[in-house]
Amino acid sequence: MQEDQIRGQAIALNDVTKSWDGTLAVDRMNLNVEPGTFTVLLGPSGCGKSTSLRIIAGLEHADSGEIAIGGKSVGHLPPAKRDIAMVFQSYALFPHLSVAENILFGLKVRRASKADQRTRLNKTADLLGLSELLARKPSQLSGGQQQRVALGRAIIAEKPICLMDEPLSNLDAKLRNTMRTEIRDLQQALGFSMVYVTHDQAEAITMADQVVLMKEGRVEQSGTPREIYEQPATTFVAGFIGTPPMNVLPGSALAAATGQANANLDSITLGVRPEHVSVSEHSGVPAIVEHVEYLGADILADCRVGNEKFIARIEGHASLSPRAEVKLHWPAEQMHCFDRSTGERTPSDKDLFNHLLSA
Amino acid sequence: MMHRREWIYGWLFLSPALLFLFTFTHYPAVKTIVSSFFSTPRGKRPAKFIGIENYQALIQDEVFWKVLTNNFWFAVGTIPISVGLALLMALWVNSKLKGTTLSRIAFFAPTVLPLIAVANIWLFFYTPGFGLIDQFRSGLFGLPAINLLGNPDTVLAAMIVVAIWKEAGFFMIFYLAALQSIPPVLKEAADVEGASNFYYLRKILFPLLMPTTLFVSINAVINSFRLVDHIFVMTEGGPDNASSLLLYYIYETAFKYWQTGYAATLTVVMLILLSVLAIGQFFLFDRKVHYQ
Repeated sequence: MQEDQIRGQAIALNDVTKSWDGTLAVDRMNLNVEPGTFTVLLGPSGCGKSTSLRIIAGLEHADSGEIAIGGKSVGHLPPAKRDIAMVFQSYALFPHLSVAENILFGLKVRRASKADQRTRLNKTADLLGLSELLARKPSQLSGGQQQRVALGRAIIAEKPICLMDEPLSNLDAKLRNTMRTEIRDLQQALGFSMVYVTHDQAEAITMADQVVLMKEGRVEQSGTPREIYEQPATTFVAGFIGTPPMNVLPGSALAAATGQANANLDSITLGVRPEHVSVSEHSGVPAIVEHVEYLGADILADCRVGNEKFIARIEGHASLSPRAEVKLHWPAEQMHCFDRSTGERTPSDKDLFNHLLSA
Repeated sequence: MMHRREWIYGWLFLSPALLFLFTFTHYPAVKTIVSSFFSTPRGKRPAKFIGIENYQALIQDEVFWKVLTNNFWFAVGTIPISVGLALLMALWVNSKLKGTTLSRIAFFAPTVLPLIAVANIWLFFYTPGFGLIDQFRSGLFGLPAINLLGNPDTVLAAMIVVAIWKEAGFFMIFYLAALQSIPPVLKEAADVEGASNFYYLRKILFPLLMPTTLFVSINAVINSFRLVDHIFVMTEGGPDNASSLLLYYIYETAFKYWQTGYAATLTVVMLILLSVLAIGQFFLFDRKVHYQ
């Protein structure tokens, strides 16, 4: 495979803005994709991730800002001149063409030689396990197979950039997991730069080199999956990433629950991941268990701290029953701290938490 | 027992529709075929069986061959142009250009009008001397008046134009509906791959519109035999049968000359012709049509 490596291209968005009838879809977006890496645009629906992708593809035009591919400004170029491939959410297969014709569509448009078409088709079909299905029509294929055909059409020309818009959202959960790995392996093997749009944070975390989390047209945080998970930049990121996501609650609520009033706590929001919480008899934050969800390997306990919801993920062999009064504890270094008014991350104060948790 | 009762229910449900279908379609059709082998009843003389005499007369009938030829050229003139025009108009009004709502209404208006009214409008266009066409000819170029409807060489062409004007808007609606059901993402996928508009039209849009083209063209063929209202208003088949079509000739034979036996014979010929054309089109197109 090594000699077939495509040289991925860098993508850069610089202050890109796009609005629809007065509502901002993308607001001064900046993005840097290193050549040959996998970037995921993540966010809830309506956050502007798909619009951003379509702006990179050239299917939409930005109102202002710079788009560069491989260092060259491409803002004025049509999609075909940007040297990209794209996989659409609905796959956009041509229903009257066979699998082979669908995959070869781009090569035929560009009048590649018959020999070139044949070798590339064979290689792509082998890679995606479509060799037996080449004569079929898309309507005769399962969802997963159609997805592969769409992938085939995208990778056959070995473009340096591949864009994918929620490509797995129409598949069932099991298939989605296998396709995830497959797409990631494909990208690694072929070496193109990938920009991948999804609203599924688990997909983003497992596939990406770089996750760009968006909200209301703006980039909320971008970084490696580990950075996003371990150091969420805002309460929104904290509450979006992880299953279940981080517990985020006002410092004052925690202070009230422990009876440790502290002026410093009123101005901050605290966050702690469910998996870092443990239940102890002696010390910690008093809470009431409301629901217990047994997952086998572990237990999800929906608790209430004062009036705030709080989820703890604890080991499966622990026994907890609803309405039990417990004390929750977690290591001080796993405590995240955000400014209460802006929601932005602030340095945490270990002593403060030790003080809190010792109650 | 149960099985038998369901069978009765089935027929009961079907019977209202069947009653009308038999009374107004099947029975007349069969009666027509039977009548075509009988002479025309006159006064106290009832129809009598004459075998294929009517058909022999038909082969000898110069007017029949004339109207059949007219109908052939009428079909050749109207079908491709009205279908082609319909597709062009549909592509236009389906685009994101400004003013498409106005064009939609404009293109569809002739369909809403009764053909009789359309014929009257065109009668005014064609009127020699002070009709719209002659106004242009004399006003702009100082050309003499022409009588398009009075000349056997031009009258059929003039009729063809009226039929196209009337039909294209109707077919456009079918194409427009088909175009709107094609997901726009297909165009985007083709754009990303670098396909030109023309390539997309030829390789994606046309094949996906094939079921509509089949439907529309069968309708166009049937209409080219069926639509004769404008002939009543504009030419009454003249001059010298130059604008007479098969159905108009059947009408004349049956209800002007009261040769009902011979009119039945002509009708049978038309039935056979239309069936062969429709079935032929299905077989010709079917291999090329992709149904979703």
